[in-house]
Parts: sequence; structure tokens; C-alpha cells
Amino acid sequence: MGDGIPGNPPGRHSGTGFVLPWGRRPRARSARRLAGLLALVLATGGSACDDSFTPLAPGAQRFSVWGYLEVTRDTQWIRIGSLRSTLLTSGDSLPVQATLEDLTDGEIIHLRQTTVRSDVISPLDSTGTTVHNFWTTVPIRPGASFHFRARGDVANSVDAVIRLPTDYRMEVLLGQSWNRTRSDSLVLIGLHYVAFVTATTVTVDSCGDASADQSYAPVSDSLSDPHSTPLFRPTPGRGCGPRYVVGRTLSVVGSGSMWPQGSGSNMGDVAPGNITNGVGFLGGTLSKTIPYENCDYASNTLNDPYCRLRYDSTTVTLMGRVWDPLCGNPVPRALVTLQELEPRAPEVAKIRSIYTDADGRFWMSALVPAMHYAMTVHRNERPAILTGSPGQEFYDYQTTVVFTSGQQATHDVDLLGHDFLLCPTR
Amino acid sequence: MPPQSVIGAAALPAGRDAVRSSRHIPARAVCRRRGRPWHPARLRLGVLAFVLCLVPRAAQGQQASMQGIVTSSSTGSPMEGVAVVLEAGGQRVKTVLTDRNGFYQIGGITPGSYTLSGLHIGYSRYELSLTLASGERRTANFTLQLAPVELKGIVVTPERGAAVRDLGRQVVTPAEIRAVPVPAGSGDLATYLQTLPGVTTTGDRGGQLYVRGGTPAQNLALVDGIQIYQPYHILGFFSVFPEDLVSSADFYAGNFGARYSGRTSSVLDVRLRDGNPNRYRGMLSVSPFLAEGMAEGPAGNGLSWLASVRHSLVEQTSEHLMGALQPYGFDSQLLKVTATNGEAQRCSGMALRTSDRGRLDPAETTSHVEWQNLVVGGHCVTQGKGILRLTEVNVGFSSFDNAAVSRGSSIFRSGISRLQADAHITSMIGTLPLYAGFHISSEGMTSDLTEIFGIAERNSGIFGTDVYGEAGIPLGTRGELRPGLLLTALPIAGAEPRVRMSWEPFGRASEKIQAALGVYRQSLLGTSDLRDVTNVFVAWMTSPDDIPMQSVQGSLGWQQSLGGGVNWSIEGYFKRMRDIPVPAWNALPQFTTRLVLADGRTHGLDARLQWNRPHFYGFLGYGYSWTEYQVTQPEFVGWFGDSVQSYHPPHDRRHQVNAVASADLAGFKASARWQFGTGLPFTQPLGFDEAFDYWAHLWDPGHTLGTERLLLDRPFNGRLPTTHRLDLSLERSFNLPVGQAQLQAGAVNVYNRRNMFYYDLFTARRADQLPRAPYLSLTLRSK
Repeated sequence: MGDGIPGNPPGRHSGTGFVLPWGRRPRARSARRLAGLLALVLATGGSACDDSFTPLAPGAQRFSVWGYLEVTRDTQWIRIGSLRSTLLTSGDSLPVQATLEDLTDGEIIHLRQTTVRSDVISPLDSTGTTVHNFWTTVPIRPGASFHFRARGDVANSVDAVIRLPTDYRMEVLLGQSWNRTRSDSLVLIGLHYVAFVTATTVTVDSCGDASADQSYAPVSDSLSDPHSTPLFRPTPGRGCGPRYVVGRTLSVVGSGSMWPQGSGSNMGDVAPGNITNGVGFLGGTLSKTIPYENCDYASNTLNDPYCRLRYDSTTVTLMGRVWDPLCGNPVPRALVTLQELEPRAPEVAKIRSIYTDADGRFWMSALVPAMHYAMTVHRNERPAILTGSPGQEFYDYQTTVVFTSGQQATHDVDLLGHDFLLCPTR
Repeated sequence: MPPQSVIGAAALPAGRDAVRSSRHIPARAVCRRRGRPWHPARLRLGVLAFVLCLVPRAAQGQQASMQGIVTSSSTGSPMEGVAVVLEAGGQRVKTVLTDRNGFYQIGGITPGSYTLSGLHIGYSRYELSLTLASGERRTANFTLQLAPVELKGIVVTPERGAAVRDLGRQVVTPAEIRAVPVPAGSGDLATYLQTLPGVTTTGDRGGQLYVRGGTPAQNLALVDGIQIYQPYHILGFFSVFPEDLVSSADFYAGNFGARYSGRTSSVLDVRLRDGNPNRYRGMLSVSPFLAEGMAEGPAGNGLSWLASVRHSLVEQTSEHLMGALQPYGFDSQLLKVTATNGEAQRCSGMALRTSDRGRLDPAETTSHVEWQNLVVGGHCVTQGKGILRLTEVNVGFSSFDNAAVSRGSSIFRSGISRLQADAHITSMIGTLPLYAGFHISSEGMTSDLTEIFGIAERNSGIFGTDVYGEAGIPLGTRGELRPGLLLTALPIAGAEPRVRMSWEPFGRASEKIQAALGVYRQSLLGTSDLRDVTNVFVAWMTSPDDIPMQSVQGSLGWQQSLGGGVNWSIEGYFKRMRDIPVPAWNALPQFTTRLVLADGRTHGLDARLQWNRPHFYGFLGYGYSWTEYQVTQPEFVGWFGDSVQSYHPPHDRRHQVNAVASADLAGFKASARWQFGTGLPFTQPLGFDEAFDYWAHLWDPGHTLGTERLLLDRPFNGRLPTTHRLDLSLERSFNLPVGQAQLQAGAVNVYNRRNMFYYDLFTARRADQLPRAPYLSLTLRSK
């Protein structure tokens, strides 16, 4: 620092008196200005006495809309509610007119409203929850597009465009034993958006049935066509003796547009969706559930790592139940096998197999129409108490079956036991 | 032993002009060569000339120099702000002020005979006649004696107060702290800081200070050189620094020097008082808000000690006094031991523990917040022998743990601990003061954030080292340029150049222009849920992707003393902040540890007017501030149509006015404080709805209920109501045979304004903070 005393009052420091750079009169003026500023501040403070508080963002009342149009359902449900300032719901009906306009032919579908008072009690609302469902039973076809509109009393309206997927095909590729990875794949053909896929495996053991799900998240972008997704075979983990896979199913929910991404605590990350002037999501879906059983080639001459199962409108689904007529019981854990008898060259015969569930039921799909199958039902268990060693409890069942295109066939099987006195207690 | 005091003027070896000319002519001669046309050789010469202009006397090794430490006879502590005057023949040759360690140094003295004086208001003048030989480095420590009567003649005192700053540094003294009414027996630094423009609080509870657009986690708080993470108590009036414990505090609202590292917003550097080395003293105080006790005394062999205990009482008294429960509590304990070895060496050890707990929503009994600080450290100041140097060394440990429980379901815990060692040297080369030092620290962070939908645990640690240097370059006789550079090696290497300047355009020390520009970086982040302004939970963590937060900030101000104890100042400032970690926006009101990096801009203006008379103190401060963050998040696209959103963060108080007055009237001391602030931003909710999670299941709306949720609008699109409050107190002191009794009556929020509040969006219930609170306090101080 330089000479002199920092901060010393100027008048004392110079010893010659103190003069402001702009003279004395402005000093008086600045004092008046200061007083004026102080008065202004006090007046501002005094006038700012409105301490009321409204937390909600201003604006027109908004609607929350949730639901989807599903091709396979008889009744389509859409939930409409208004964004509320509290958790409490009103028991009154919602003054809303909701319509679906078919964008192909212009047909208007008027949705009917049902107000439901649920007994479900929220932590803050002991009187229950009122919800407003809008519905229609008009059939929904694949590939259709609808303009949803809901109009309220106060001139606010919400809109959304719902697109349904066209019918699509699926293939499941089952890894063969000589395939190093042995992983399965799902191939979707003719579908551009997937809501989700769930693979379910049901096993049976001495403790009973058990199932495990494996879900696959929705794909955010449009899918390539065809689109392949690896599948993992979930196995319920339980230690109750040998486990038999009695059912594998794949549930595919195809969507006509992008599906919401968030889940659970991440629901806040879900964009407000496709609702214009509102929040929520309206989708259009075509759901398909297919059995996803075993498939092996009879020989390895093709060296094909995958056994390919094709699911479409021409393939055949076979359901049935294996029954013990002597004891009057279903037969669980019976191995149902269908082997192609006349595969078209150079293809190799496929062997399809699945175990019956606790009710003796089996379900097999993606069977080829007009193909002759050798059907075998085999139960390879015999209580050791009789023979000293496990053996065959029932006689094998064998027959030849053939199906027509797109058939939903049923084939029940009576399996005769070696000794009817050994009827198990159910 | 200090040199003996000599009253009277010594003979002069040369006149004042002779001394000045011998120092300045060579430099000026070079500087005057500016008028000629430039060519490369001249450009190089010009650069050399510029350097010589800045450092005109560094190489003049034959001149003498002096250093010393000034202490107080009453406390034995170093005295800051003592004017040390070197005179020759009755003419002042040089005047310097002692620093926070009582240290002064004078360089570039022409050999000869001088009179050295030490002057401070309230103390007798110290004089020493001395003769300095060529190249001599003289150490002259001395002690100032308390003067029982006011000094006649020239009263030299550095101007102090809220309107006076030196290179951005504002010195806060206990007397100023005392002037602001606090519902307790003694003043508190927290309340004082809240009266300053540019300092914003987001509530009466929680003790969070936002300085010039920065967040609390960007503030550096030091107690005797050791970092403390949360120095403020849950009740906003109080900090761990009551008036009786503070020796002085340096407060930088921004643009602090290179000495301070690791933070980007402000610095509060508090020096605790040393215990009295001469006699035992004590203080007891009780008010409806607080009970406290302090004791100090000598311990022999140059040792002294100071102990303090504080315990809040508001939880027990609030229902009777305010008509509403104020469920807050805090405790603090402090012990400080000081050892001195003459004036040349002083060491102290300190242990401080604090504990706070409370419910920000008094009605929500299943929620609470709590935190604890532990600070243990040592601080040593050593004066060099035979060389001009003062060395400060700090070694310490600090830990901070906080937890928040929300509705009994969500538990957040976060803790941080720090080991630090740092050293700082004040020296001089020629007439050029140099400041240099280094910091070494190791910090470990833990967080356990258990939420309804999952658990997130994180442990991390960082090791930090940096070195810094600053030089005090005289700008002729009218100012000082203080360039500095902070070089960080760990945890993330980088350089932070900073420069500060003080300039007296009219050659009068009472009128100053001050300017500063600098780069500031911070690698350690404190994350809070910005959506809830009353949320005081902080999760400490390292910066994501090893990207330190960085700000470039500058300021330009004018301050002036109008005489008669009136000072005013005005200062404009700006900040450009980069990579500020903020919690990711989410449409649902839930705490998240997911961070996104924001860029921020702040500009503002502080205006201060202070009137300081023997029986009156008045302060009026106005602060204008504008802060904006810009955040990019993909989620914004779906909700608002654009991935980039700009918003004003929750501490963006646009206008703020503070008025403080304290006057002695007929044996009473009356104090008043009025504060006004425009509303703070908050995120408005859109409302409640019922949502369906379609991620892996097609819930049928016809037969199932969805999940109730609260949706939030754009970040911080609303403003809370304005706040204003008047606090009054009236105090009377009585002399007792053993000391003094002080009775204080007052009220906080005199006209019962509903100011800051907690609003439960789920229940639409508003819980106002701090209703009118009358109080009566009694303080006993021994002689």
C-alpha cells in the first residue's frame, strides 16, 4: 500500500477539510434521495403483505388419461381423471365427453362413462377412491388408428392418436445341443414397436408347480423388421427333487407406437406421453401368447444351430390333457412328444416335447399343417416301493396326428396304468 | 522481549521527499519511455519496463526492512488493524496495517534513524526510536496498552464495518456482531452475515447461506484454519460462532485470494478468541432460545484456555412463548487451549463439537433431520528470526454427518470426514509482500440413501494437494495489485489465476475502487434436493466424471468514507459457473442422487451504507441478484418440448434489503433489524393424478387402480411470497460487585409476518416458520 493511512476519514487525513467530489449541495440531495429510497423500501415492505400461497401452477384444468386399445379384448377401457390439487377424489361423475374417431373411415365411437368408488383406501383418503372409466365394446381391428378426444365443461380438451399394430408373426429359435451358446431367440416379423415381452417358465417338482418370468423392456425406437431378441430360459430355483418343465410361454405385446419407458420410481421420467394438453398414455396393442416348448432335430445332418418354430395364422396349436382313466386322475409329468414323420427334404424331422402340468394338461404350438406327427405320451415313473427300482408306471401312448391350417386342435389322451390299485391320492 | 517504548520524535536522517524519490525515480524514468513508436525490440523492452514498473524495488537489496507482531496487553492476543507508522523528522515515511496475526512488515527503508509508532483506537500510542543500517532486517514486536480514556489528537483506526472491504475482504468484529439483535444473551455471526447484501437464506431454519448465487456447499468455512462443513445451527439465528468466542472473522462474498482453495462461492475465515492469559473470566446467559456458558483463564507456562457450552431451549419454551411448538434443538461444545512463546510464536489447539436435530415440519412427527460436526485442530503462527517471514501452519480433522428421515420411510444419510494440513507464509522481497502456501487434504465420503424403491450406497474419497502464491504489487502510491495463482495437483489438476486490485483514484485512502477477477474450481460436491428450499440434507460426493465445478467471477466496486462515521460502498459482480452439479429434474417429488451438470450465470449489485457514531450504529444494505441455471436433460423433451431448460434456482432472491440500527438511549441499548426479500423460486406442482405403470404389465384400467402421484411442472417456475420481518431488542446493563449483568428484552418478527414456511403438497398443509417470538435474556459476565 502507499503512504497514508488506509481508511482514515478524508477530512482528518488531509488536514485541509473534506469536500465531496461533487460538492455539498448534491450531498444534501443525495441525503434526500436516500430518505426517499428508505421510504420506498418501507412502503414496498408494507404493501407486500399478501402472504397467501397457491402452490399449483396456473393454467387450465388438465386431464390425466391412461389406457390402451387391445385387439384381443371385448371391452376397451380408458381411465380419465383431472389433475387435482389434493389426493382426495370426488365422487361426482366427470363432466367429460370422450370419443374415438376411426381415422380410416371417420366413424365416431362415443365412450360411455362408469364412475367407480373403490374400497382401496389411500393413506390420506379414508373414504376410498373414485375413478372414472370410459369404455366401449366396439371391436378393434389390427392396424387401425383412432383419434381420441375428451372434452370437459371448461372448454379444455385433450387429444391423442392411438395406433394399433398390424398383425405380426413370430418365430422362436431354440438352440440345439451342438450350438455352443444354446441361447434362444425371438424373431418378430411385421411389428415395429414392442410394449414388452414376458417369458414364463412353469416347472413341476415334488413341491408342486412353480413359475418364473423374464421380462424384456420396451424398445424405444422403431424396430428393424424382422427384429430378433435373445431369450433366456428362466428356471425357478427350488430344491424339491427333479424338476420338469411343463410349460414355457412367451407373451408379446405389440404396439402401434412407442411405448413408455419408465417404471416404478422412474415413473417421473416417463414423458407425459402422447396426450396433448394432458398427461398420461394411450396405446394400441395386439397381444399374443405362445407356448415356448422344446424342439430338437431328429439328427444333426443340417448342422443347424437352431430349431425354428414359426407362429402365424396358418400354424396349428394343440392342447390336451393326459388322463388316467382307471384312477380317474390327471397324469402330471407325462412327456408329450410330436415328431414330424415326413419332413420336406432337405429338412430334418423336428421333435417337439413338453411335460404335462399338475392337471395333466399340455399345450404345443407352431405345428405345421398337413404334416403327419407321431405323437407319443410317456410317463417314466414307477414307485420304487413296488419294484425295488424306478420303472414305468403307465403304458406308452402312441398315435399319428395331422392338422389343418390354423387349427386350434384338442387331443386328450387316456394313459393306462400297469396296476390300477396304485392310484395316487390327490 | 519487546523493544522498550519511547515517547517523542527522533532526529531525521533525511526528509520525506528524499526518501520517496530514492524509491521511485528509477521506476518512473523507465515508465516514461512510453511515447515512442513500438518495434519488436522496444516491445520486449516495454514488457521489461512494465515488469519494472510493477516491481520497482524488489532488487534493491541494500535497503533495510522491518517486521513485527503487535499484541494486546489485555488479552495477550495479536491485534489486527494496528497502524504501524514509520516516521522520519515528523514526516510519515510508511504506514502499514497489521494483518490477522498482528503481523506487519515494511520493506524498502533507506538506512537511517526513524520513529516507529503503533496506533489503535482505545490503546496508548506506542513509539520506538531506531536506527536501521544498510541491509538490516529488524524485528520489532510490541504490545499496545489499553488506554482508559479516549485518545486526543490523531486517532488512527482502520475503517471497519459492513461497508468497508479491502481486496474483497470484510473484517467482522464482535462489536458489529453485537449490533444485530439476536434472541440470546450475545450476538451471533450467523445473524450478522444474514444482514449483508448478497447473502441469502432460504428459511429461518436450517442455517443455509447462499452467497452471490452460490450454494451452501460452495462456501468455505474455517474455524482457526480448520474447515467446518456446517457452521450454522438448525435455528437460523445461531451458528457455532457466538460473539463471545469470535476474535474476528474474514468474510469474502466472492473473489477471494489464492490462499483459499476448493470452493467457488464465499469464504468465512473465523478466528476464535484465545483464552485470557491474565485472569479467569466467565459468562452465563439464558434466554428462551438458548442457554450458554463460557469460561476462560490462564493455565500457567504461557498457556491459556477457553471453554464454551451452548444448549438450545426453544423446543421447551416455544409452545408457551410463541403458541406453537418449534421442534428444534442444538448443542455445541468448544475447548481451545493457546500457548505462547513471546510474540514470536503462538500455537493453539481446538476441539469443537456440534449437534443439531429437528423437524422442519413440526406436525410431521415421523420426519426429522439431524447433523453433527466434529472439528479438532491445531494452529501455529511462527515469526521468522532474522528474515522477514511469518509462517502459519494448520493441522486438523473435521467430520460432518447428517441424516434425514422422511415420513418414516425414506432415510438418507451422508457423512464426510477430512484430514488437512496446510501452511502459509507471509514474506517480503524488497518492498514486495509475498504470500504463499500449500494445502494437503484427504476427504472420505459415505452416503446411504435408502428410498422407498431401493437403496443407494456410495463410498468415495479424494486426496487433494495444491500450492499457491500471491504478491502485493504497489500501484504507485495509490493502490495495490494482488495477483495470485493456485495450482492444484490433486484430485484434478488445474490452475486458478486470480487477481485483485485496490486503487485510490484521488489519492485518498477513504475513496477506493476495488476490482477482482479470478477462476475458482471445486471438486467436492454437496448435493441437496433443490426442490425443497427447507431441505437441509446435504449428500457430499465427488464430482461426476472427474469434472470439477468451475466459475469465473469478477467484481468492480467503489467505497467511500463521507466523514462523520458514514461509509458507503457499491459493488457489482458477475459469475459464470460451469458444471454445477444439480439433482436431475424429475416429474415426481422425490430425492434423487442422479446428478446433471448445469451452467450458471449470476450478476448482481451490493450497496451498503453505514453510519457509525460512538452511541449509534446504523446499516442499510441493498442487494440485487440474478442467477440462472441452464440444464440439459433428455427428459425435458417429452415434458416441455426442449431438452434445455433455464431456470432460476431456489436461492435466486432478486431484491433484498437489510436495515440495522443500534443506539444507546438513556442507559439502554436499543437495537432493531428489518429485513425484506423478494420471493424465492420454487417448482410448482401440476397436480395429483393416477398413473399406470405399463412397463411390463398391461394393467386394465377397467378393473385396477393405478398409482397416485404428484406431478411437478417446469423447474422453479413459481415464486414464493415476499418476506419481511422486524426484530427489536432493548438492553440494559447493571454493574455487580463481581461483574456485570445484562438484561435484554426483545421480540423476533415483531409484527408476526408469515414468512418462510413448509408446505406439504400431499396434505395441502402450511407450517409457517418463526412466528412472533418475544424473549427475555439475562447474561452475567465476570470482571
